[in-house]
Amino acid sequence: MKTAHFFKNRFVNYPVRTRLITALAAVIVLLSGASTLYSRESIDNELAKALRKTVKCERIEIKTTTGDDKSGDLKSLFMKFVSLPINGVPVDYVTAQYANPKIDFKTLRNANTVKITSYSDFAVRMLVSEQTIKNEFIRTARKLNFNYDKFLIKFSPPYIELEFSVPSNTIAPKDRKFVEKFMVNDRFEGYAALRLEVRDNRIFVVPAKVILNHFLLPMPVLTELQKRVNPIYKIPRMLPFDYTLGKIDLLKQYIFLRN
Amino acid sequence: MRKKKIIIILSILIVVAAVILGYVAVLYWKGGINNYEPPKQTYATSREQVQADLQNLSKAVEAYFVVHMEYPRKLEQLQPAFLERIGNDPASGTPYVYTLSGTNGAGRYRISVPNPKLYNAEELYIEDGALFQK
Repeated sequence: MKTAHFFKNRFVNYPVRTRLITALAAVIVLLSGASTLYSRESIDNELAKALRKTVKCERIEIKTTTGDDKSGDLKSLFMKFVSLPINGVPVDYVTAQYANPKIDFKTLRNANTVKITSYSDFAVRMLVSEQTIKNEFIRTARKLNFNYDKFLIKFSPPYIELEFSVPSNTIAPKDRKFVEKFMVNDRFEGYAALRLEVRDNRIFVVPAKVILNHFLLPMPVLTELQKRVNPIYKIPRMLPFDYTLGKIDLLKQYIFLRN
Repeated sequence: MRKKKIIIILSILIVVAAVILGYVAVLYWKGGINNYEPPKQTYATSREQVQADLQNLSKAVEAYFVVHMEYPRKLEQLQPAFLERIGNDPASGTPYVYTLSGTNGAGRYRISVPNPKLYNAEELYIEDGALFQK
């Protein structure tokens, strides 16, 4: 009887206990998982909130990843800024990516400020769309009262193609003198295929082919032209990040800049 | 003697003028509206072309990452915003092999040629922007 009771207990009560333990373990695992997820989401939100204070743009997205170990240290931190104005130009996408970042959480929570004390790698990438370039050209032309009959911009990787027709008086006298032997009817009409280069946050154009009033400009003229127009743009540093852009590529619809 | 000298000088001047006129004519001929196109990209070998292809694909994959915060699941997702066309491996005529490791599209990516032996190589691929060949 006692043996039977023992067996009864063993086969009836033990599974209940097992189930209970299993259920508790599952709850603990789920809670810890949820807490990790919550804490990561919470970090993402806090970082986005702090960045919104200093960086003015259309949208900020943060994505953090943790390593496989249990330390909870961040493996990577991605920050994405959508339509971020840099020197007045709304850059379509900017990302800052840190590997193994150490964030000062005290400063983040108390002062609502992002402070990254250390990291193993840092990358900044920017994408400027063809449409943004076109809009910016129209805006700048209006601002500078630059008149033109035709000015088409097209991305044909690795070249930017331009087709233009402008009155000669819109060109600055010192530059006009240089190309006036190609001038016909007080106009400059033609085509240009340009490559882009970036050095120390400054963008340079390299004319690969320029046609002006039905004349293909010879290489010595292109070299001189290149000297006169460059650099065409200086990209300011966007606080709180410190970077030097050194790579530029032309994609189908974007200019892609990287450090 | 003097007459001969004048003839030589005149001949030289005519030749120089003809060269200049010829040069101007070539520049004019090459400046027509039909020539409104960028210089053509040429590659000496298919290996050079494959290296350029891999680098272009890699740049497009990284640009995709900037927009989406994850790498594309397949190369076709790069069209049309980042690449006009994906293109095939020039030696085999088959598509490049794209693999993604890691979770949530944030791991590592690799684009390789389908058959590296066609380039006398054991491996030929680009991984996270760095080209490997041996």
